[in-house]
Amino acid sequence: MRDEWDAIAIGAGPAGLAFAATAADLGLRVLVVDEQDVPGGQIYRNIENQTPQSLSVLGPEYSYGHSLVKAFRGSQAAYLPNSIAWKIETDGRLCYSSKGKSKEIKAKRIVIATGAMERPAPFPGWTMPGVMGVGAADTLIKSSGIIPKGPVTMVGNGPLMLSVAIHLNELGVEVSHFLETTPAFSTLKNLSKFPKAMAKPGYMLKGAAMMVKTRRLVKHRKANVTGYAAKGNGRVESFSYSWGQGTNQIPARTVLMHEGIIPRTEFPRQLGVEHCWDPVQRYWYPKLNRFGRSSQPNIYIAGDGGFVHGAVAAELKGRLAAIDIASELTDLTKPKKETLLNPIGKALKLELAPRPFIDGVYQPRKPLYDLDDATMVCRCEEVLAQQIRGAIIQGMKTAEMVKSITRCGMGPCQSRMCSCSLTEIIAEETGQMIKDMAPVSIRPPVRQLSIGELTRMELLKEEN
Amino acid sequence: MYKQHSQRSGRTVCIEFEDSPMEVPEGISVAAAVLSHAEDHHCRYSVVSGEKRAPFCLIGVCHECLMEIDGKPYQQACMITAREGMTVKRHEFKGGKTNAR
Amino acid sequence: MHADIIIVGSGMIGMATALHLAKAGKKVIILEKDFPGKHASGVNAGGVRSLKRDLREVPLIQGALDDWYHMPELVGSDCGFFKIGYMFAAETDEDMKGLEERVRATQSMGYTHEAIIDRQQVRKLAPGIADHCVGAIVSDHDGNASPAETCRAFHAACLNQGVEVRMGCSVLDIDTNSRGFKVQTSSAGVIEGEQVLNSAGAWAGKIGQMLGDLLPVTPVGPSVMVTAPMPRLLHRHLTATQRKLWLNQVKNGTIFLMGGYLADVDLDNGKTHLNFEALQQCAKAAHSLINTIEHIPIVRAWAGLDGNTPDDVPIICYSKKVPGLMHACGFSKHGFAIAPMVGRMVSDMMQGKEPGFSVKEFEIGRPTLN
Repeated sequence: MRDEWDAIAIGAGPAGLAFAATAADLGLRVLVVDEQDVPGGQIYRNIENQTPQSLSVLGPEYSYGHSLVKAFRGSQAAYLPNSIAWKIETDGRLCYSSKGKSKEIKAKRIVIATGAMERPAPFPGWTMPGVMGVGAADTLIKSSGIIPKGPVTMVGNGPLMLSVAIHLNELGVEVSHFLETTPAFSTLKNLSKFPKAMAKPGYMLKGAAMMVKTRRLVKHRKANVTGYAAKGNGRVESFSYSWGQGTNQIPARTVLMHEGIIPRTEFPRQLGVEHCWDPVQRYWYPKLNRFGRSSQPNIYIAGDGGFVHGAVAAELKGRLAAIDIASELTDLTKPKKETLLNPIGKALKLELAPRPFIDGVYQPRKPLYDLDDATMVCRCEEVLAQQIRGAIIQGMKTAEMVKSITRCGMGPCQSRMCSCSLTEIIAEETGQMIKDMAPVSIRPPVRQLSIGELTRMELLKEEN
Repeated sequence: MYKQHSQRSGRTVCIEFEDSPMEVPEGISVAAAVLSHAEDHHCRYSVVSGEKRAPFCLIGVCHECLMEIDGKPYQQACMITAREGMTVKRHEFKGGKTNAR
Repeated sequence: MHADIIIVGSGMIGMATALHLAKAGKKVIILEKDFPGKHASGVNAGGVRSLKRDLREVPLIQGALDDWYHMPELVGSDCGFFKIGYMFAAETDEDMKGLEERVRATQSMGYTHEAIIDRQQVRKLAPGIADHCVGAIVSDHDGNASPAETCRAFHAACLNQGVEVRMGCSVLDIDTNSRGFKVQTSSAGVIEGEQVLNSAGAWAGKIGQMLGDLLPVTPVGPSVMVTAPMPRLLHRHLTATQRKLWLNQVKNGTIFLMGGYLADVDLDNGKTHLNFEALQQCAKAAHSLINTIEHIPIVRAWAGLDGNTPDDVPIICYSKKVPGLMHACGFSKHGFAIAPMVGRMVSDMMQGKEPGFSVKEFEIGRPTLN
């Protein structure tokens, strides 16, 4: 395999696949580095290995991924599965680990297409066995054909709750409790964005239909839930939740939580590119131009890793990045570029039309990060909210300072699960605006690397 | 807690989980195997307090599913496919509270 | 604003000195452009080592160890300090002779902190160490602390003692006047003081330059890797004669790998950029010494910013050019352990007292610096 490429994409979800196929078709030498063993990313995970039965359960939006994977497989793009990227440099060098061996390769452009993750939103008992993400349960179905035995309690806020409830139900899993933390009157408050959303009436109708269907299939539904906690001895045994006037406790063995989807920003943060803060959905996202180019000229971010807009938008953004890069690295003319961009730009505009409404309706509830002192913020190092507040009182006003004194963020996950909470608590306790703070930094290796592997890795020779 | 839904190939592989043989469907991740076939589906003990932990995000982000696989410590079980003869163990290691407060 | 002593840099050197000066009744202001310990004192591996130290520094480490074993009395916290010895393994018979010679020399100077051990004892302390290691010298009275907790505790102790610590406050310029010094700062206006202590770490050279004093202090970015927690593998912090390396396994089981492997430095922005060729060299040095670490995952790597001198010994003396300007810098990647004693020593010197042992080894004019 060559060491040098025109472009390397990290991730084989819709953005990475569409980028690579388009880029290859435009004459670029492109490689996709994928941590999984088959293409699909998270949304189209394991799509090549599904049965007709599982495809019918997962629905047409999932099956659509087949065409992306087919186009990718049929293109001249190279595919490197089972390969985990762990360091990127702004000059286009990339280190990855594959089957226990690390290597450094280089490209003129790097396209980060590592997608998104479920928002880590701590609550008492969230680290107990029996609690997992709603998306995680969907991933289990897609990748391993595993389902919870049920009954299942689902809690949280976001459209993913609906589709997973429907998937579980079709697989014979009882969803006994469906507890929504979507802020009260959310739809009303965002009504002004509704007309724009109706540019995609089919999409909106489908969402409404899913809402109706979900309400019918769950046994108990509660809206405007304001807080919740899991209890048990070594595993979840009961679950309590509260709303305006009341509180309830139910037996529970499987709790699926979901408080939204946020971009995975490990690589952008490792590179130190500029980020912006979205006050509605409350997350950091890399600052990008309309083609996905970051503040570092050789680095692009495509798909949900740039902003969470869903799979179709991710695919379109992947194509935009490919066209832009091709316009610089091949003899693609300006007029031809415009011709290619036009329909994609239009499609993307349409695809994004409902987003302000969706993002507004499903925004995280205001007190999401008003954590009880005893809530565990850093799962890896078991750092509680009160320890973080204690550090702040002692004068530690930045994430870096709090991290050094509490060890929050120093565990194996490298703050992936705690940086959101850490940022929100610091802002709350110090009165700073998050937009004036900086995202928590990350150093390479962004993924674990064994000592033996580091000793044997092939590094590229320094050019200067 | 969890169970197999679709028998894709119908084939199974035998892994050694905590020194006992365990038959699991071909193609599933080690994390999925622990969730669906182990009696107690926690996959590790916290290195700080020793409390039980289980896979949480299933996409390689949360690092809860760290297990010893084929003698290598701290492998992300959700990212590794179970293979015939693979040995899978929970880390028993508990480091105790670290130096920093 | 006026102080008896203005201290530039709130690392361990600055804070330890401030603490003792304040206890002696002096009015002290520390000017810190970031936060206490940010660049070196708070981000090292926490080793408190007497082994293999330049013999000139032995009085410093011995005095410091007294403090380390009694930190709660000094700063109200144990600073995470625990006792763990160090081991310097000989990789050839020739090297072993060299170590035996070293022990003879140190003992003839009255120091007993280093002792010889044989092949078997080496393997007891580091099972899995390479076969070719024939023996070692060890120190048993050494230890390891938590840099972050130590900095926090010293910071709090300073505040308790009435030291003013200005964070986010850079020194823009320093001038002398009849009363001493006039320091222009970025966020605290102008501060006047009778004496200035330059404990600015990687920036010590820049501070010296402001007063026309040229210091042979080079900014360096020592990098460190740390592993996931592992069962006890090393009973002593470990190095060996044929390699640049320190392998420290601390209380929670994580292992630090380092040895003066440097990152690229961007001093103006206070940033470092890890050099993976250097880190690979470090990993190779560790792995070929003790290959049982093969599968242990590296969880994190980072680099600090420190000041290095050409002979790797700190500069602790008054400026020859500028009266009242004390330099305590150039700790060359090993200042953390001796800082408590350096603080006492510099505090004595700045009060016109004799430190109680020879300090001419730390002067700028020493032969090994020229």
